[in-house]
Amino acid sequence: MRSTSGNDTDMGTREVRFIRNPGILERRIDDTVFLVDPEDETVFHLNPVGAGIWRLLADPTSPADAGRILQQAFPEISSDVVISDVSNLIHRLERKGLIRRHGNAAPSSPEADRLL
Amino acid sequence: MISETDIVFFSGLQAPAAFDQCEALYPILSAVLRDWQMERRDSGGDASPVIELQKTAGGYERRSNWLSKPSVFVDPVDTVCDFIVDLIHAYIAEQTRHLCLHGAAVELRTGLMVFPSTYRAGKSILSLQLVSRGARLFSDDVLPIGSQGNFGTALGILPRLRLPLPETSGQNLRNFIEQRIGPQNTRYRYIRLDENELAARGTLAPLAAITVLNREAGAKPSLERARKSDVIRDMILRNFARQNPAIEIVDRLHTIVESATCYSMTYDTLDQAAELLDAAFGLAPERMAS
Repeated sequence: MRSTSGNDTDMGTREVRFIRNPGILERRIDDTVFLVDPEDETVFHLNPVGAGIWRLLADPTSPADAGRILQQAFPEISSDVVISDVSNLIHRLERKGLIRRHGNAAPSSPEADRLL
Repeated sequence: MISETDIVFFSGLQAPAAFDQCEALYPILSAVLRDWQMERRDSGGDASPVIELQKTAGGYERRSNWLSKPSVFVDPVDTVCDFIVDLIHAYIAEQTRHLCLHGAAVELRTGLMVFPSTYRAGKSILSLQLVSRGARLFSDDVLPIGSQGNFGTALGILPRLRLPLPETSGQNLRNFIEQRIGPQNTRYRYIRLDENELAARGTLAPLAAITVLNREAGAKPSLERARKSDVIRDMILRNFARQNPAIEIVDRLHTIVESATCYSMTYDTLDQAAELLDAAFGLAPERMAS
């Protein structure tokens, strides 16, 4: 888990809930996860922490909720950093089309990140 | 002798290549593609050339199904080297459901050892070091893996070294290389290996181990087990047979690493690396039936 965060996300989205895109294929190997988007044939790899967050996103989960769960595994890291890092990861997963917003929440501005 | 414009079929490939005024390349191609037959025909019949190579005032210009724009080389050895990249693309395109890994593969006593391609890790010179000590080279740069089981297929193409040789190359290895000089220029040298040293084209061998190389000056040599997920991640980046769905590639690589043992090797000199591998696996393979 990184102890410093990159770009922060809008505080207001931390309570927005996200869920996996049902079209994404996954393979668990060791304690990591490989994700495949069959529409454009790109492959993503999540390290163990990312794999844990992916597991949570099987059900509607907000960055704040995921951060609170992850905090229990990293009590030595401040909650602001944990939640910020989790938020950044979740929003990256959203930009890459691996997850989507649950319910009627409006999507963030579409950024076509270069995929693997 | 290839005349001015020729349609050439390589070793049973369905799609030919077209050569225009490339007579000077023929001896180099013949030497480097040690086990490949080159059949010249008047036409391709129903098969259109997938690679076109033409000598122009500016050099040898190549167009292919895999190039977005023409590629031009002046030096004949460079031209052949780059042509072979497309030839392998053509080979893979006709081998449905094959994986194709960037990496070297050496047949050791315990089976095929694969070194995934890592920038400047020295897989080619290390592979020749192992061959000079009794191992047999399977591939220098590209290893096709068939769809049935986890068998690598030798392509019978000479290995190529970057010049000058690394300073860590001992005198025995230098002598070995000097006795086997193939086509070369100021930057690259192909090494002429016989069938005891380089497996014949079409030879199959099961993958026994995969070792990710880490060459580091002054490092203490070590050979350690590697995480399968790390090896898969590296190999995905180095698989260039894209005709299979991505999820099948992940599954195939998972099957491969499950059946092979994965290692990470750190070394400084080639002798250290060879001794580590010899101690762990034995270098001289038992010859298997093709």
